[in-house]
Amino acid sequence: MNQFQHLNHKEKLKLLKMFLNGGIVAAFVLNVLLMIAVGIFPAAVTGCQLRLFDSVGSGEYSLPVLSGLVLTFLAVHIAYQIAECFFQKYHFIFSEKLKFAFQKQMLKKAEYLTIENFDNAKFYDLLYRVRENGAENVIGAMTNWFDIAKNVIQIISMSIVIGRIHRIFPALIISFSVPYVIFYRKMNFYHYFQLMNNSTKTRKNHYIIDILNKREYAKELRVFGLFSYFYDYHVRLRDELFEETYRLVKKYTFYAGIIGVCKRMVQVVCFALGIFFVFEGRMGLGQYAVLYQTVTQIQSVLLKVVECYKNQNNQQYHLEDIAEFLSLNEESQNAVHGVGDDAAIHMEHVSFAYPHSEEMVLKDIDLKIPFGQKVAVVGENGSGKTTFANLLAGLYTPMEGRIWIGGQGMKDLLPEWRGSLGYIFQDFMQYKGTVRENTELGVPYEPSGEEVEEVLKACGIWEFVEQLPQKEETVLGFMEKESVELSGGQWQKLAISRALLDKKRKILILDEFAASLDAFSEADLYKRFQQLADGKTTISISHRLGITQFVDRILVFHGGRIVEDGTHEELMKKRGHYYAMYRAQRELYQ
Amino acid sequence: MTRWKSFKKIVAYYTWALKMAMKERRIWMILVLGFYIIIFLMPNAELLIGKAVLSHMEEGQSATAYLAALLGLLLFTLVLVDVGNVIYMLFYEKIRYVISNQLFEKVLRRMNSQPLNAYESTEDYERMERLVAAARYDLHNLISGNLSFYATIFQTLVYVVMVAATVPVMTAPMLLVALVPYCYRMDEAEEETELEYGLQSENRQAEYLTSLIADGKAQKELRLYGSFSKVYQKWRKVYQNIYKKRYAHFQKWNGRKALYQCIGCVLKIGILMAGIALYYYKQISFSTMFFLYQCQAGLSTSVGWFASIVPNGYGAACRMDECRKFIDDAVNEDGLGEAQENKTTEENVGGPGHWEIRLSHVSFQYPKGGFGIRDISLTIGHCQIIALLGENGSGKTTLTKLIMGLYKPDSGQIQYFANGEECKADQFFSCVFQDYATYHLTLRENVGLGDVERIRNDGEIREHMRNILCGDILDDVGGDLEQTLGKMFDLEGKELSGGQWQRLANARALYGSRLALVFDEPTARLDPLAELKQMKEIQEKFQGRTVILVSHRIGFARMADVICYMKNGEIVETGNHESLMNRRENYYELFRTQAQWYDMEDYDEPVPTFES
Repeated sequence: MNQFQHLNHKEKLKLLKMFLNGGIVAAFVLNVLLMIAVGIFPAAVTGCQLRLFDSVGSGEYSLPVLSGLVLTFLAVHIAYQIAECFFQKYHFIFSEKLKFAFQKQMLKKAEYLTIENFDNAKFYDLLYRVRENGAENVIGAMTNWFDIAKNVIQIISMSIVIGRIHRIFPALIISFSVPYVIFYRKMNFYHYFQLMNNSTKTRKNHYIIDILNKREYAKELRVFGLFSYFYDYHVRLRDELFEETYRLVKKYTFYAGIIGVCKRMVQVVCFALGIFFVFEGRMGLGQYAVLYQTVTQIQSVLLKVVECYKNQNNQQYHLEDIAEFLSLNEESQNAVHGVGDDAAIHMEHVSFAYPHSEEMVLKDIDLKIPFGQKVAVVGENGSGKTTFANLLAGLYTPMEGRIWIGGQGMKDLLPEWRGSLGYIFQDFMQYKGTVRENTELGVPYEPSGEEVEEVLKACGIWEFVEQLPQKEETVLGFMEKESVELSGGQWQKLAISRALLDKKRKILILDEFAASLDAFSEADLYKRFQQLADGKTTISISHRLGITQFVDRILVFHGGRIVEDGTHEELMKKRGHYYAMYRAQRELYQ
Repeated sequence: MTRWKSFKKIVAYYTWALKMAMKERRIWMILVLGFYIIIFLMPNAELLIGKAVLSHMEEGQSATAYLAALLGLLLFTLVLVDVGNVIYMLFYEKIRYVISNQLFEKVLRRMNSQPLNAYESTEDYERMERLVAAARYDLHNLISGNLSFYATIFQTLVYVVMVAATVPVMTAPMLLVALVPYCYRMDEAEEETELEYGLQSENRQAEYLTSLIADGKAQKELRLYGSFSKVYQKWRKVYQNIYKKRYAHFQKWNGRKALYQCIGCVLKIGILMAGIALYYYKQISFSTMFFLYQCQAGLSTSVGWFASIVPNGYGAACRMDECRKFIDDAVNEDGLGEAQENKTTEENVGGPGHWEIRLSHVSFQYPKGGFGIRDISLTIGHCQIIALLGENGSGKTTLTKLIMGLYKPDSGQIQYFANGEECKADQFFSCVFQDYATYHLTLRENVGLGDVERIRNDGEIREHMRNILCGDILDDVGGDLEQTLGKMFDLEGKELSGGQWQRLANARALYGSRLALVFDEPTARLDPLAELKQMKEIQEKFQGRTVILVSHRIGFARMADVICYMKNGEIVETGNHESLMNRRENYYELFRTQAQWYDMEDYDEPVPTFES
């Protein structure tokens, strides 16, 4: 992944525009207008102050003039507060809407990212950085220029006000800001650089903290007494991260101190000049008073401008991260062809290795599976069975060879091809939602209550669900009150129901779907399997060789290749791998 | 009056944070606090000097030396602020870091010493989250804020004194005018804390749903099923709900704030008018009037700062309350002090001789769950292999967790006897669960964590791996124990298959000389040949230990001395394989159901030991 690909202005604008739509634009415009309006008020206040103290200090005041000035002063103050109130409101609306739009973009993008990304640690780093402060930085990038404009207007207007006293004052004040800019810019580069380099460590630290306090790891932590080990690990990481930030803090503080001193000197010089002018009669006492006040004010606003400028640099880096994320490889969203109903599968000399890994998990797989065939895939661990299924599902693309479905190349059929697949995962998810949601996530549409009930019955978990307090609306995973815990086998049955919900799916891939089930549920499922698989192609990956009773064909994987292919009887006669495995398992029941 | 109580609570925590800091580094803290207060008093000094200069000029005197001295003093005070800042950043950062870590450690240790009963409901979950968040962030914020808290109080007091010394009659009005615009803040803070408390579960949901983006496993599934947009829909609903509530809260208080600020403006102008009037009637000089005006501004700023930061401490203070109560409760729980860490005492190593586990009338129900165990009485004898069988949800795993001491039973007793004397269950068990942990860390850790004391013994780990059917994994990584597993943190991390993770989990459980082993589905992911081999190898390691097996697969059960068949949380059959087969009841049924899938032909050759 390319670090520091610099976004030019056009690309940056395009990126920011992506987040602006509909309702946000109005809020954005109002936010910006009010921001500028609010920026003008301090100058107005200063002007009023000047007039007021000037007239008081110079001794010329009549009641009407004075009251007029005071009332103007009051009016300006109140208008300021009201403008500020509205500004805050629209700022809130704008930021929240933008945060929403930002997360939405991320989710939409994630919907189509190629799966290869998820095997890549750099991707997780990028994702972490983007999620951490992404929205704030987009908001900042959008409003930054306006913020700078507002502050510049403020500085200019206030400088005009005191420039009227003498030109030298604004010149002096503004000149000190030059070192600040240089300094801040440099600091920021190091800061972001450090953040990027530490992303992995920071993520790991979060992971270790999760191990220390989350329920999933609590059992092992206690039984093996691992608390000290992981706590020390966490401390090590945390201290390393702190040392680095602290080093930067030290550097930053010293420089800030020195520059602060310069700033103060400019202030004092201004005051000295003011005193000199007063003695020379060029300035009134009232004017001096106001000068005193305004000098510090202008300096703080100047600081804000520099801060905005510094943030801009910071945001630039974050925007580059976001741009990178949004430009990651996506899958095509529309298939070129549709999938025929009776599609046959043909893998032509397919080889595959996982990204960033050298060893080939699948080597020269060449086979044809006609429609409607029932196939069992067996073999030892790591022989490539799950990878084989993943490739069939189009989750990865083969490095060599091609996969044909019904005569069409797999590439042209994605993503619609997946709609024809019913896939049960070996390593299934346990979603923290309701029972119903856990099942519903198996299809892109909204299934009816009857469909859900039917599939839960088919998986043998309906009776259990019925006696739960809220039946299928019962929450799992401790996300809401009244959450319920399920056993391993029950979770597996839910996972199966996910895959089987859509009965129109013609090709079923079942990866160890009975691993967590007890003997009775397993037997039950095998029996139903015949009905479920009727008229469909099924590929069952299983260690339990009992399934071979229900299939027409058995493929034996070994070291990434298919070494045996045939029916149960054929393979038993061969006295090969399959024979050995079958005998080994059967032995237990003698 | 609740406002005052809330305010007192916040002050109490700021003080507590200060005390902790003092305990940690007394001299440094005094130095830092001193400097910080000086920094905050500099604006006051500036004002005084400015007034002196102005009044000097007003009187028309032109003693340049005096003025020069004053300006020099001004410069000095200003520079002192910067120096103070430097000292604060350098020293306080470290102190802050150290203290917040201490609390975090206490919370984690306490959490770890609790039985898992405390993790079994959503309320518990949310409470744990709040505690961890409190320890990680709130204390940090409190410590950051407390110096400013005390400094601002000083600053305000000095302003009041300055005004009182100049024009006493203006003191009370000015103070009032400074306070009025912010009197709504405490109420706002209280409501905000309540709001966030109420939104905690929605926030968790939204967080969970967006975290699915980063979950490779979820992505595969959802991509395949094409249902990711549903996640998006749900997230949208939750998020909009959160937004509505937050917006309502914001609207209410934004409006109120504007109202109070406007009132404050009017009052400030009133003070200004009073000042001008006093000057008009020659009661005070111009410099004094201007000085008063600036003091008013200064008071408003410091009160404003106070009002903006301190009430936010209310939320933090409430969470810290919960946190401290949690830690202090540790001393009240019976028998559950700090978890003893790896104290391999003489009794543990080499075994306590005759070792027995006795359960009498133990019952347990998950708080919101559908299953548990009922009235189980069982004695597991010395070096006995006991298998627990039964259907899904019959309570097998629950029983093992109770035996290991992870949960406290609702009723009944579990006792552990070593040489006839009662002892505790700590450090005696080793386990592999159905949902074993996969550590995305090094290979060494995945195996070595079974016996943390010996995690650095490379040779032993490698030998152990070869003995326990993990030799192929070792060869795959070229014997490098530092190889990272899993792709989360390392580009070069090695991805393992389900079966390989399982074998590593088994190896972990067997690495070490724990006296009691618990295996829950240790071969679910293994192919038949590996399963047979693993069973044989594990069986060898059983010598001299007590073993509790849970499995759906009959294979393991047959080697047990005692088989317990569980149904609906009770043990309905006990015996060894032969006796239970003869009874022709539940166990027999289970056996037949699994066996029916295999043909019953007779083979002449023995079972091949096919080397893969």
